[in-house]
Amino acid sequence: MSRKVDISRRDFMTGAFRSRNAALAATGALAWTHVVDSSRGAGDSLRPPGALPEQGFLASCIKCGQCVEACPFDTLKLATAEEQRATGVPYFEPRETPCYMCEDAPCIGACPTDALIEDTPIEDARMGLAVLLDQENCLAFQGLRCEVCYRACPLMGKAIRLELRPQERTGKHAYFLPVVDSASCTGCGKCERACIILESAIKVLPLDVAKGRLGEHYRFGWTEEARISRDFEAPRNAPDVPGWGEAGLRKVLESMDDLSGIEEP
Amino acid sequence: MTVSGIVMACRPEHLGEMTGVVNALDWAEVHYTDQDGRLVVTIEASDIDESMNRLKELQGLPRAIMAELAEFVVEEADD
Amino acid sequence: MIQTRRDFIKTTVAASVATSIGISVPAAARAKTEDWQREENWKWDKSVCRFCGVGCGIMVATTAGKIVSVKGDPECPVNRGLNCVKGYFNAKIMYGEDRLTKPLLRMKDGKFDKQGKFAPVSWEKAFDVMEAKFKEYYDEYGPASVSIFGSGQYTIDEGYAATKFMKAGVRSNNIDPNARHCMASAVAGFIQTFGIDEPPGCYDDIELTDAVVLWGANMAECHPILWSRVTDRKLTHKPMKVVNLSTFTNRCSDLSDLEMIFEPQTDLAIMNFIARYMIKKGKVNQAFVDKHCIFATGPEDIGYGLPADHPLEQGQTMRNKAGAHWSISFDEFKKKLEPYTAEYVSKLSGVSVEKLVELAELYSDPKKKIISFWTMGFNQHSRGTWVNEQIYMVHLLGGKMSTPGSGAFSLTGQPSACGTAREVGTFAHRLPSDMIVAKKPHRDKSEKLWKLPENTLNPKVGTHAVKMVRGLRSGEVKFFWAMVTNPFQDFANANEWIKAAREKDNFIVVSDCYPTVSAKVADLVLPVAMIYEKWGAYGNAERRTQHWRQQVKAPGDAKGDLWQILEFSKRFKLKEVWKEQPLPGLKVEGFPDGKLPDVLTEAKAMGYEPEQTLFEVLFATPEMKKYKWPDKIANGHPNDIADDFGWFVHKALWQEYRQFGIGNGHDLADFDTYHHVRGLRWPVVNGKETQWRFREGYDPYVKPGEGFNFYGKALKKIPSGGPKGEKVALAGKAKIFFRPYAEPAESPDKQYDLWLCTGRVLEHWHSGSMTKRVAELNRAVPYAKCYMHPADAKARGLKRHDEVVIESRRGKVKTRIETQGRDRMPEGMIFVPWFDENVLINKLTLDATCPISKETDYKKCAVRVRKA
Repeated sequence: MSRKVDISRRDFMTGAFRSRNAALAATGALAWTHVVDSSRGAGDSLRPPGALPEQGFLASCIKCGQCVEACPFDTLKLATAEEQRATGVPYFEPRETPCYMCEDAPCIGACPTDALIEDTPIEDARMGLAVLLDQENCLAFQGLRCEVCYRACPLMGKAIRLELRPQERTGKHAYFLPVVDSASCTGCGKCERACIILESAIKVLPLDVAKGRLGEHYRFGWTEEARISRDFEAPRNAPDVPGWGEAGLRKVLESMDDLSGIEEP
Repeated sequence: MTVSGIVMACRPEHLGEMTGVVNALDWAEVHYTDQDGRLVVTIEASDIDESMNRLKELQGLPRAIMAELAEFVVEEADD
Repeated sequence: MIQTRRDFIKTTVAASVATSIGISVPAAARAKTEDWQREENWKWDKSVCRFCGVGCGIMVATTAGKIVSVKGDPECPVNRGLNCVKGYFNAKIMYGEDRLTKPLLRMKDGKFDKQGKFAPVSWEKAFDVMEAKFKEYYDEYGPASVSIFGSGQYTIDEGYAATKFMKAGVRSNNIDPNARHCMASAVAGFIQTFGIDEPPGCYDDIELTDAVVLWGANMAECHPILWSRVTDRKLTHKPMKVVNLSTFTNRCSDLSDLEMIFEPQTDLAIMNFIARYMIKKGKVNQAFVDKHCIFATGPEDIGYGLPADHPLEQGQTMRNKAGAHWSISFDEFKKKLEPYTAEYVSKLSGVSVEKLVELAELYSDPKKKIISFWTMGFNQHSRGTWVNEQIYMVHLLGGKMSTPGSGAFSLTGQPSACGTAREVGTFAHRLPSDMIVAKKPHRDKSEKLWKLPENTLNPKVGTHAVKMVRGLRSGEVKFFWAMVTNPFQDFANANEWIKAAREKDNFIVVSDCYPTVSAKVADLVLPVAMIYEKWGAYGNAERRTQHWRQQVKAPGDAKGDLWQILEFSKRFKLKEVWKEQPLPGLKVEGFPDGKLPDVLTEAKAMGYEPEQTLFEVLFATPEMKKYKWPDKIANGHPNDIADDFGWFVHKALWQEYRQFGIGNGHDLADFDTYHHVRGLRWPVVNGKETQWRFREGYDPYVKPGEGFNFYGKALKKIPSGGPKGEKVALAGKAKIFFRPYAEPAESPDKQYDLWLCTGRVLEHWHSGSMTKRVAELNRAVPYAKCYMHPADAKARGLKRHDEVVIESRRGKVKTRIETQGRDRMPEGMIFVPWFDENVLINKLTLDATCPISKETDYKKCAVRVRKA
């Protein structure tokens, strides 16, 4: 258990450590006004680094093209009316030209609105997520020593790492399987660009297309220590569960009378 | 274990150097910076005294204009 | 990516500070901190998975009085943080919309009426009617007319309290668990072979072995986390071989080096072939066998556990003495194996000679460590005890028992089939710690520990599970209370018992959490608190006992089974139960014929009063009440039952229960210890658990220099040479049984031309009452399909997904067929899992049992399939 300590009220605090700026001492819960609605308009275009989530981005982008101008590698393009994309909005196609992750991200600096979030460090950009879509044609998954994507990755060993498994077919070799870590992958697309087969086996997908979501009811046990909470407080009541209570009882009584499974078909 | 959230400041042109120096300390980490030369840093320490000493250490770094405590969290020890 | 809690805190603090000074925080960091802030109010505690016998440790998170999340416990040695897809949903099983929250009684005009409709009643009214009906039958017909059908899913304290109430209180041995359908053959095999129950080895064998042989165990689906350990061994240990023996291709075959699909029942013959092969090739570990084993056999005309008037039982002269056995010489043993040549067994089983030899070679190799695993393919078998004994025969001949990496290991189906049903002994013939009611010294010891007058305990074995429902039909059983199980979905030949329950003069009580088939068949339904709504303990297949604390409160009026037993016990006065009782058929030394004696006089001498209730005498005793509630071991957790009764009931029961096992090979640690560890494998002596029993250096009961000591005490004095031979003692030895091949009870014929096998699928637990309430699992496997060979489908004009009617001589169901996927059937056999209450497959199955263990053969009966 952790708790926040109201530093201004602790005896041990000396004046020297007391915050001078009231705003700095804010300890309340973080309130994020940002709402991401993943059910709407999951676009299939990759946006420049630092872009707001798709809905916000489309709302904020004024289609000025300044980010495209600023891109030194001509990665970014503006969608034309012929394309099945939001017209005039910047995007990129990594197999053609990936994002080179300029340290100073001139595209972000060029953006006159909040569409590209100011000062996003380039390694924090989430343009999309690389996904190894076609394991059947991926050479590494067949046991060949390729791993070109892994080595092309600007965050090699972090955004793409190799998982080693015994190769059972030969009984003598190992697989070197590229595995993407979403916590590090910026979606730059260097891997997609580099993949040496005819049609890339690894592709960058927009985040909301690429990511699954774990239900709240389960956590991976090994991600933190198995600590037993010491400040458990016995609940007074059973929780509110839909269906429980008086109305629920009527339904239960109805289902008690339903003998369809018990009677002969 | 304690974690302190610290706001530091340096001249904007020293930001890179400052970040490097702080990250080199194994108990401190720079999380955010901006072009005005501000840095958001966390300090880990075993207890309050140690965390205060470490804050003083940050304050004493060359090029540091300020280092102020903004938030403080105590993680209570398990068995 | 390892995301430690420290990282979470740092990320959050940094984000909070950055926001407060107007530095923007990227979305990913924001999402992470949002999660963490929400989860900061989650309180975690260790617990155990609700489902199978593997016994995975989990951590459960509670907030605002609700279980919101679980994770695999990385510190639990069984699963190291992993779970299967059922375990993944532990947090959701309690929150189905149709949870039972009030007692429901069949009523007409405000009164109980067997033909009435269910209406909610108070607990008082429920117990009033339950008491009246119980006493109506009990007073007239005596203790043999009342029964409890319990469970391997009882917590240990629940099973212990139920046993004490029945055996010591109302003096009826008619308590039997659903483990009768699950592990009884394994138990009989252990007791007859080793004289003590449960596996000598443990899961650690997997990481040390060179070969795993599966005999009728679909581990890939039914013991998923152990299968993951077997798979890891296979992938990382070059010499490792996996063999899958089954009557159809299942997911275990995918990993196997050798798959052997055999004709149902011929496992008996394959075993004998292996033993014969080992002897012929000189592969018997003679030194081990000479020092530690003895050869034995028993009668062959033992029938099929069907009622005496059934055609199959005619001429089966030893049907009531099926468990008798006697020692034989090695030469005699060899002679009996002689018919089981490769050619004969190959023809019988349908397995090629090459494969048979390959398997026999694997068992013969003295350098190879080998584990045999089995579950329901062996146990649910009309010769279940025999086939259990045969696997020990093979392992003992090779000296491959109780040795790290080697052993025959009986897997368990239910989470506490071992911990509760077997160790507590919630069986019709058992008492705690492997003691039995038929033995005077065992009754004496129990009477002493339970502070009962001499001869309070009933010496006559009670009605086992199958006999219980047959008793409902014949009218011999009048009161039937099912707890933590769903009998009218899980008994074979279900139509018969549903009819008996609804139409005969009897009273059916079902304690349940949802409106199951059994609840619908009942006269009175008692709503129960589920696993994390109560304190409890389970014992898994490797003898590991794991305790947990209550986390949340049960809905409405739902109450734990333990509370229900204790409350009901308040309704009985000593003078009603410890008086003279009729017990038809009783003929035991020291007892009047046909009667249990009045023990009230002796009770009085012990300080009991006839007006005292069973609650006061069995449960609310001064010794038990010494365990005060609250207790610091609770760490803030609630205990509704302790609140109601005023003392720490669970701890008191545990501390009393463990007295039975101390010094008896069943030593358990004290209550508090289990709340500081991730389970311990008994015997726990001087705080140390035991990995390999009977083995010097591991088992504290084996003395230096002995090497092995099969010290189990049961059945260690048997006739020598033949059934009437002189009795000899064989302390410390294990028995190597010869058991012959025997025909199945029912085989396909012209009318019913297919074998039917039933079992489980990974996604659903048993009768589906919990997993069917988890929308995601229901979506994954919405109904029970009929798996069939494509050629069998074609021959009947059927395609995949066609709706069919499956019929046996006993009933019919409707479902759809599947010709591919997880179970690939051989021609002539179908598989239909039993989790689905709308496809009540047990209407079709046959209630033939192993005559020794009384466990039903759910794997073999004859059916036909036609288009619906």
